[in-house]
Amino acid sequence: MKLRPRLGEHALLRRHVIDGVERIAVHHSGSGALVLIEPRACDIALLADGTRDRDGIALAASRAGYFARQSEIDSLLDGLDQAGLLVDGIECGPLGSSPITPLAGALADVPVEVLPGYRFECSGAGACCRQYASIALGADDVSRARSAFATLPGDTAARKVTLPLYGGLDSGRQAMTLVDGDCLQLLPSRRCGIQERAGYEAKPSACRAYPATFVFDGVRVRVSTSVECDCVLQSLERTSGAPLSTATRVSELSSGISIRELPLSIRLTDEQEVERARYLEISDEIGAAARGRPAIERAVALAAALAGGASSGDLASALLPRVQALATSMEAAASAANLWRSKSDRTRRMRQQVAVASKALLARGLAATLAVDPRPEAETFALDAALFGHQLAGGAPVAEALLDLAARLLVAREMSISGGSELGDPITVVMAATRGATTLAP
Amino acid sequence: MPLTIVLPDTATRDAIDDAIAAAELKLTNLVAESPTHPRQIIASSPLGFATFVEDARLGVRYVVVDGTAAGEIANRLEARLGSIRWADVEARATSNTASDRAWALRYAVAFHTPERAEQLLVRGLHDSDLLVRRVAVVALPYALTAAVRTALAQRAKAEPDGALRAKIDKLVDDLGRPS
Repeated sequence: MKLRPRLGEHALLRRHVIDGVERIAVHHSGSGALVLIEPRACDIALLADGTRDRDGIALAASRAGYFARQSEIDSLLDGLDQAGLLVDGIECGPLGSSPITPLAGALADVPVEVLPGYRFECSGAGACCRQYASIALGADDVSRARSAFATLPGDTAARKVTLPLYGGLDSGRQAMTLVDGDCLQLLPSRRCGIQERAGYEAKPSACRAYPATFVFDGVRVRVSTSVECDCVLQSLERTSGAPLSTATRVSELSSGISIRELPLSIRLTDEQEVERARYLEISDEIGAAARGRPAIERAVALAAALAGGASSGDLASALLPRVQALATSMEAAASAANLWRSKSDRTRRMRQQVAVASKALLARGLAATLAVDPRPEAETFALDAALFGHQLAGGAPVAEALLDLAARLLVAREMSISGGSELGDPITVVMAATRGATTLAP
Repeated sequence: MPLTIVLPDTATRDAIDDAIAAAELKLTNLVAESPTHPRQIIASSPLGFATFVEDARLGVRYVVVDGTAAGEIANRLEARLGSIRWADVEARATSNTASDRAWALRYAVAFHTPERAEQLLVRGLHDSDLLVRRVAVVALPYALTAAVRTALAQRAKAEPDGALRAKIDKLVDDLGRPS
């Protein structure tokens, strides 16, 4: 039992309205454990700030008008503790990879390199506002848009619309309330309510920048795109649209956007780690290598090359364990979502569809799906965007991440072959549903 | 004048928390148990305050209510939690069952009226049952009248149980022998 408990930084507190009922989901970012609590219990949990013992929490709850029974507080804290969501004391843990922002003066003159030849146009369908477990806002976003926030019936303060992004302490970064998986600010017209009420400039920075990804690799900031929204692939077929960014220097980027910094050393394989500068050379080489080959084949070949050998050429064998792992993890994710998410929740439906497609792929055999390639350009774009934006580096070994990406593209291909998805482009559905998944290496 | 309500066994911590809410009180302090103090839950409103005492040594709970509307608060708490009456204590003090007589001694001192508890404690010190005498020794510091001190000092010589006799001796030394 923690003497002075507090929700750890790994505890992700998210306010949901599920089929009209308000609940707070507390996710463990490491183990995936989930505890659902009542809003009042959340208010009490937030009083556990690492400075109070249980008596102190009870007293604070009483002052705030939340206190009912000590046993209720004990039960709440015991439940959170058993799920590994509490830490002791006020010393703050790491907040994952800390993003840097363009305001960081030292980087002001760093050049910005944007995914070449790509122009993006948003269709305004609002899919990106409906498929993420967290819609993050910076402190500036909140102060800019607070007065334009839609609230829920019964909310007495706009404060309740967001909860801390990490843990229970307010570090400035916040997460928006979700209604059946949709951003609370999304209007029935699928337009952003904040933008409608207060103008484009009031819209949160990450939403304005979406789907662009920003990474500082030590030399420049690369701007690429995630491939998790239909607009990203639809833009390939259009001539309209705009570059992902018009900035040429970091100082020209919008304030408030998050720039991931590539770690100083990068794991290429389980055994091999290289310095960032060396990785950049390798990255250029693999980005240019084997162009013209189908994306899945190319990703597997690049992974094999990084591992120091040539690809055996048997793609099905190389990808089978990955697809099996993907099927298992997505089935678990879908089952977990079924327990508490609304049937209309896009995240729940995406997970279900990806789980079904993964199993169908395994049932049919990978070879059959590998033999057809209905959308080579889209798959190639997904791989190129990930390589350009260093999206496969800095977490799992790059070789593993390449195989993971290949497996995801193959599942998306299976989904395409078997009739597609009413939720959107199979590639974006799979990518969004598997976002944040840890390495699929068995 | 503070009012004391001695609480029955059914007054669990949950019941106390519910009664605090029903009496429109708010928690204002929680005092942890220490070698010198029992655990206390203090709740108040602008009209008064209630100190709930969870005495683990005696195994009893009681609440002391004070303030301008002490009577009203005490009535509300009693309505929710119930209470032990002095008549219950007296009745069980004369029971043939040792556990009843021990119960009576524990609760007698919780009323904070030493003059009423005095007679029961003195009688308990001389009870034929060792359990009752042990409880009397634990309870008597809560109602330490001159008569109880004298009875204790006398019992130190007459107590047949060695362990209890040693305890009484120490207690007499700690309290100071009656002149």
